[in-house]
Amino acid sequence: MIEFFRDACQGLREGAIMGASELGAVRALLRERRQNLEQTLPANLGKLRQEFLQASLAFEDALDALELAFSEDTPEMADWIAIKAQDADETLRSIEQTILQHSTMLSEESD
Amino acid sequence: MDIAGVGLNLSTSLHRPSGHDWGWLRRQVDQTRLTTPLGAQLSELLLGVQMEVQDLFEYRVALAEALQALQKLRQPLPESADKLLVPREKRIFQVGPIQWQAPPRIESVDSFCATPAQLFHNRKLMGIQRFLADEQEGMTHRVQFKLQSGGKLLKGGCDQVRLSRHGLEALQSGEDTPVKTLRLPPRFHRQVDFLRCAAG
Repeated sequence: MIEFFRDACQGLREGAIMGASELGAVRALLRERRQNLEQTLPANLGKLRQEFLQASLAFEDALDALELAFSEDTPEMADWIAIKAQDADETLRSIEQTILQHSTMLSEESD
Repeated sequence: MDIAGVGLNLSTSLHRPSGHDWGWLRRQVDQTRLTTPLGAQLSELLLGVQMEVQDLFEYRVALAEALQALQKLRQPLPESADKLLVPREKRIFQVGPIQWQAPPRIESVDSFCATPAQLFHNRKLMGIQRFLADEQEGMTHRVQFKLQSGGKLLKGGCDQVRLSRHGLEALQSGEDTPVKTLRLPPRFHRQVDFLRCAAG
């Protein structure tokens, strides 16, 4: 996911554009992934679930900003969008690390 | 099973006699150690709540599911952005005699940095950029325009435009030097050759 934002922001900086239909397809995919996430995430994860959903929504916000930047030809926005996407990805990565550590501890202790 | 709700009433049923009855406390601890299964003791140490083996198993399954969902969300898109982008070289900036300016290339270091310090500096730079943009936004002018082709008036009107410092200086100088280009507000998406201008 983050690779897409990385490349798109680089393109934006260099004066490239991306069509509305292409961005629409990416948006549909993002939304589908988020909805899958909402359905499959166990409800008992509490705060973790909230963090998950917020990070996935942040990706959609970054995509909105990307669409605006392409439509208005404003490469100045590339850095801001890149940071926003990076933040969302880092949140997800830190959750992943936490879960992995937690899971490893549990399996070690219960074995 | 709600993890947050498990073991909330662990200590409410305990009866503790008044005073420092260390013998009573020791008996309680020993009794707990003898009666509580090892798995539950570990879960209490790990999670702060007592869970049965079955609950622990369910919790581990829930974590595995969450991990899977997370990896699905983060996996790369089927098509890379490079394939969806139309590069600057292939964009059209001129139709007949009308041409408009390509957006500037933004030379920037890779903002996908790993350290918090780099992120902080990036944000600081963004703040400066925003400040400069706001400063320029103040330089808004009402401009009348006439679009002519071959002596025939195609369109006339006026609009609020933002002028760069260079554009403003050129207008205020009163010289008849034609300003070559004028960057119109984004919604116009084009930049036309500016043949003649006069401060009004």
